[in-house]
Amino acid sequence: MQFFLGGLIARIRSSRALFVLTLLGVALGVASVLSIQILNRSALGAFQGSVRAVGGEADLTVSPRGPFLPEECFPRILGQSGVASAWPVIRSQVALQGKEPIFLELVGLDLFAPRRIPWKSPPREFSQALSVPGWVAVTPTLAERMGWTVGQGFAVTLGSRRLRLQVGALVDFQKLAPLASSRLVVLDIAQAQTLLARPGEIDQVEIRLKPGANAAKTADRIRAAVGELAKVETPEERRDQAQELLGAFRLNLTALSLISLFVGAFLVYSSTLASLVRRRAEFGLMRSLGAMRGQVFRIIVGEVLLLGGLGVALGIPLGYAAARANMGSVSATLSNLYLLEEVESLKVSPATLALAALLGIGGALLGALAPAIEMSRKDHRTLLTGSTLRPVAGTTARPIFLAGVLLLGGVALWYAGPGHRWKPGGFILGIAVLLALPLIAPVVLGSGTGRLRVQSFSFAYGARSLSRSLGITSVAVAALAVAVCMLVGITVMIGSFRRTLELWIGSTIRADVYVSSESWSRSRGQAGLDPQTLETLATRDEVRSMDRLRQTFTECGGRRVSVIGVDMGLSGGESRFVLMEGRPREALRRARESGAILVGEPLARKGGWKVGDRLPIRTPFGEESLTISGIYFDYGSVQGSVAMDLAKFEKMFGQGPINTVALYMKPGADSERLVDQLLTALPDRGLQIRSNRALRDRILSIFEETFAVTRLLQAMSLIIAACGITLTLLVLAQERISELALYRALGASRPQIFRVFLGKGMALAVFGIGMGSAGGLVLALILVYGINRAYFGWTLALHFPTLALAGEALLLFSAAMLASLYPAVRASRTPATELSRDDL
Amino acid sequence: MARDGIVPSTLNGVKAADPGMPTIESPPALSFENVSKTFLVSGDIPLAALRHVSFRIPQGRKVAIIGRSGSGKSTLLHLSAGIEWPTEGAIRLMGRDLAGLGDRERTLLRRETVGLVFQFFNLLSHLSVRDNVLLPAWIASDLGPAAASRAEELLARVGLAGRLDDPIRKLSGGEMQRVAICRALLRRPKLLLADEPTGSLDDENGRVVMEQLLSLSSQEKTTLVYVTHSPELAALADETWTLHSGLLELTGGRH
Amino acid sequence: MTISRKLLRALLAGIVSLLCAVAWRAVKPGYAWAFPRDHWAHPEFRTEWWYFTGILQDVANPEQRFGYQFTLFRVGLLPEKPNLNSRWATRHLLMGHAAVGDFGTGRHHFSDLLYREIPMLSGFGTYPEARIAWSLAPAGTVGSWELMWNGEAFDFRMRDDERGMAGDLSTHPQKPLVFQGPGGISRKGAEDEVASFYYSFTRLATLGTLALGGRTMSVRGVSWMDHEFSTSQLQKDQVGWDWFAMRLIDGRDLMLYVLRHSSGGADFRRGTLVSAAGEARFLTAGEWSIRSTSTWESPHTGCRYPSGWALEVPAEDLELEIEPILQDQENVCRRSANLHYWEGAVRLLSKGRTPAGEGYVELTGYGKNNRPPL
Repeated sequence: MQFFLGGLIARIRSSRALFVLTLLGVALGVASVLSIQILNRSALGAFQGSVRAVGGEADLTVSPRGPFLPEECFPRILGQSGVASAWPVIRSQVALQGKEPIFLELVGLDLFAPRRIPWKSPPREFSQALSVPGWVAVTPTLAERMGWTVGQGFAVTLGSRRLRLQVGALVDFQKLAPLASSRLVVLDIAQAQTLLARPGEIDQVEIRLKPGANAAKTADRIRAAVGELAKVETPEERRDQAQELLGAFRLNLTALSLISLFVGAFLVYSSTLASLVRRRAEFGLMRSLGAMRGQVFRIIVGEVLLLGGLGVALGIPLGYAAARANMGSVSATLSNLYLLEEVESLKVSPATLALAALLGIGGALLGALAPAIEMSRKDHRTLLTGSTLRPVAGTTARPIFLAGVLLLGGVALWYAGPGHRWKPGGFILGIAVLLALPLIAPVVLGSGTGRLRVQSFSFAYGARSLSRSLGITSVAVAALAVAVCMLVGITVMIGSFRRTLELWIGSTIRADVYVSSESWSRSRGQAGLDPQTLETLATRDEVRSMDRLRQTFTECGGRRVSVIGVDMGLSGGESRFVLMEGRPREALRRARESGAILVGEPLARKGGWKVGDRLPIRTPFGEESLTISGIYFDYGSVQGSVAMDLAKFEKMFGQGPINTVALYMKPGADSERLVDQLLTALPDRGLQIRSNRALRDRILSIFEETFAVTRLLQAMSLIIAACGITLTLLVLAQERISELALYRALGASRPQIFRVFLGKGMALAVFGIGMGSAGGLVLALILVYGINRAYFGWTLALHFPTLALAGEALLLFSAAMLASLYPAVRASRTPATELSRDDL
Repeated sequence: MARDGIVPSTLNGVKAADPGMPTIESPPALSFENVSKTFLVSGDIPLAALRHVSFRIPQGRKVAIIGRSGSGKSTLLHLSAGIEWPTEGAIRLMGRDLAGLGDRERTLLRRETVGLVFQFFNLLSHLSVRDNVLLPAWIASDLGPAAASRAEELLARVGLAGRLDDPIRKLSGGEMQRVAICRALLRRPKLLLADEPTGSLDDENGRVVMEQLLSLSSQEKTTLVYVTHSPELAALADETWTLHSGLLELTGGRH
Repeated sequence: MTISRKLLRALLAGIVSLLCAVAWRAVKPGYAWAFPRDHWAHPEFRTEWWYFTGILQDVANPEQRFGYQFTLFRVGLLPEKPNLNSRWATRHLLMGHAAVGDFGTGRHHFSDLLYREIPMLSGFGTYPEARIAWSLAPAGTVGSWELMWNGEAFDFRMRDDERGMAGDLSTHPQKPLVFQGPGGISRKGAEDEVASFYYSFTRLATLGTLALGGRTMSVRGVSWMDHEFSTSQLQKDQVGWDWFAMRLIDGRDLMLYVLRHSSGGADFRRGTLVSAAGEARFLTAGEWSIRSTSTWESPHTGCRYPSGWALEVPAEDLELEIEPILQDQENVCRRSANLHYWEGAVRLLSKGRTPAGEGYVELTGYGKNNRPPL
């Protein structure tokens, strides 16, 4: 062992650069996988934590299929056999004014019902929860953050209403569920219904079962008791739903992070190969002194394990830091796009760490396996007399190429057939593209560089000679190609998405000023604009007309989606919907006159709805099926949405406040000025008043935020790929040292050798970028037309962001050049005395 | 043949013994003045490879150096080619003092003036016979038709006219060394340095290759310095020096 | 102190007294009793309970005997209903406790519930409607617990499917209503206002059904009923009480209570002796003495209760031993945190251990942090 370690340390010292690069590759790969795992798990953890904090140890949850549960169903639930206790919950998110509004989650509970509440400082008189107006219990974390003490009052807004609350007690939900939000604010249900202006409504009932009760049977009895109104679910079912909701988002990020690891494994392969090439004589000697193949193999594997271990050790803090840095944007995405809990803290479970370690060490081993086996199989004479090691030489390149072509062709055929109907089919095809790239890389690189016409001992000479070390060079090209493929594919997808969104915004966001409330982004239908505010807006001189919108969430055709009501008769209002199916005027006329509805694309796609179908919509009073008169492009939600005439909405869901309005101005009026004036005229109401431009910018900035993590992952895999180029060139500089010495002896100057190496780097970059771009374009098509539609249900118009792509290509190329500099300098310093006894 | 005296006297001896030595106008192809080369072994133990060596080799002269392995033969050749530089003393290549030159000038001087032949051939296995010979022209960016016909002509002269496009691995050892000799001569070097050119060949092949080397260098009017451990092959040179523990002695010559 | 300060103080005091205008009513002499109206709830007082205890026998199998307890509590939260736009707004909680001790099997069954008083969950009736108090049954059970006025006395029923308990009993007075103290005021301490309004029916003939563990029986027996309401039931330094309700074979009934001081000793005690004819005589502390002769440690709560007493009322020539019929008659509430007490049937023995009667004993405030929140 000591011999092993001593040798290892000496070797690491002798090839510091190689070691550092490989380590960096493994560490970055581990880090990107780990950061995504941490973020994924924390997002779910935040959801579950808050479920747990509010629901306690609930065994079942009754939630409404319509917009809310009528409270009368509570006693019926309570009496069902098997129920040990049940408590009603009403909740809403309110905005706490600040530089950036903080959203507090008001949770109304029956504070006098028997249940455990983790009081930090319990109320002196419980009755105050009822008698003190606005009495709430907040978490110690929030109180500390805001500098609140018990007895202190503060104001929040819900819609345009200002609610005065008072800290009555501290309640430490994080004691029950460490990932529970610190922004949970608990109050008595009577106060909550009053403050939220929702008498008679509850949002869920949490149920504890008596020991030994059968959950499924009890759930059935409750279903029978409450009828169509509600669904009854176990916490596992609710978690699964959140998981499913986030499925595509999580899958995307996980796939991306695995790419980094994949690229990292290539790095290990190259470096193992390099280190073995250098040590072939050593192994030859060991073998001739009687070392077994297994012993040689074990030494190699031992070293790789150590490398993997170090990579993991470095990757874990790196991954945590990356997760930490991206928590904000992931959290924003979850709350903006999925209306889920914000992520406040990171959850790092031993299982996540174990997974990262397993992947890191496993990836390193996988990368080292082929060279290690090859080395241990060589007999010692070959090793000592030293023909260079060249796996994937010309003879094996062709079969591998064929395998790649067959793989891609086969999967493409399958996808064209049954594959595209299976949801993850697009992912399989995408993975096939990514796997095919490394397989075809040797032949493409070999024949590509082999055909170069070389005029002088310079760049092209270096490029051409790459074909002689395909075993190593094609790996670098493959790694780069995979990273570039992903980059290009996703750049094109994001570009297409953004372009589509811009066009959509351009045609749908037509009003001059948009008024909503801060809490609307979270509370939607509950965040209303009061009549006085609406009056103020409508009677402004500059305002020509006002478009009012109400929103709620209810079950439509078995899915809980957003339902909006707008004035379908608004003159010029057709532009608000860009129809993919149905004629705009006709669709809106039918919506106005016969209560038809328009359905957003994601819902139509997921539910298979077409124009003319009747979509069942759950209301507080029952269910009503409405005819679909049009299907519109809808990039605002993942779950989908339904639009109907405001009058129909009121008939179905009852009276309620308007949630947002859009103002159309008289010609010549200045919208920015109106925004300023309105903000002054309507203070302290938590209003969001935005001009057309500001709203568009806001939508696009939310869009960009959504892809922030994606961009980080791309950057990580590109850094790894760049490391790969440096590594490969260093390996070449070392492996071909005697060749370089010969050139020097024959009179090649240092700048010449430098240019030869830069030429190699350039060629690696060109082939990597070229192959990656080609693959990336294919991947983009798969992402845009396959994966995206299957998982999100959005139609995107394919758009190549040429400038962005060109910029990326330039950046990549520069990065590759930069990565080649150090090896080129090293190579050019090769002394001519390094002439070898080997044939070259 | 034993001789008294130390190495500097050899220099004088050579000088004195050669009335036909070129004048100032045509400087010696290679001269060493009191050259020593010391390597540090294991980091700090000095080991003298050459000690106070002085000599002048007039242009066109063929010199054989005999010595046992470790005697400093290769060091002497490396110093001559400007691949290494001396610990002390001055080396002049075609009259130019190497000490005054930077790496770039030294490399250019080597490229234009020196041809190198190695014991282990050092051919590039991925290049054809022709391209191996043309390598110096590549490096010199002088890969015109002239270079190509020169390569073909040289290869024809060593009997490899029909093997121009063969891969290196198809050649025998003797053939490989002939290719290497052609490569060394491609750019018409003034000085041809050969390090055990027959060391990897059997006696028969070695003799043939040696004879070709000598005759080619005569035809090309190139100064030839070669290292060998075979007295028989050394005898083919104009004069023979012996290197012994870094000391150089004149041991024989036809003049 | 400046004038303005004084003024300010006076002003503040005025505001405070205004704010406190709506407050719980104190127990004071001069209450105008009116029956049957006073059998219903008195929401102006903070706390109120209707307490039934008794011993029943299976009509079909008279050897099978049971002790039972049925209690509904009104727990006042606020003297006035908060002004909130919600049907969950309330000023009361309703707590219900029911226990059955099965003398045959030796097992004690207990069920409890706690709901806020809102139309959906529980409520208190007003005279003259028959219903005095009602509540949904505990979670997991369809139905309700109810207390009704039947014209002479009370009908009540409870159900708890999870515990396998149900009862539906009807009572008729065998002896008239008695006040447990002068003017119906039962003092609990040295402070005047620490007192309750308290009356009892000491003997109620009881008929009905009792279901236990899936078996429903016709039962009959005798019950004791207490109705008590107050605003301040315990003095600050008191931790609980021992309460005895005993029916003697000779037709007399004896009620005794001891308020215990936090230091452990008796702080305040009184009693009432009701003659066979139904006349009450209030006993001062000096007229009787009681001491615990044994203790029992609860396996459920670890709490140590007295278990067995020796009682003497010299003036009445009474010397009794009081023995629990079952050791374990502890009520551990599931729905009110930290609330547990011992409430059980006892047998009375006179000298020579001859049976002298039966009754119920309640022991509260034993164990840590178990002072009743009154």
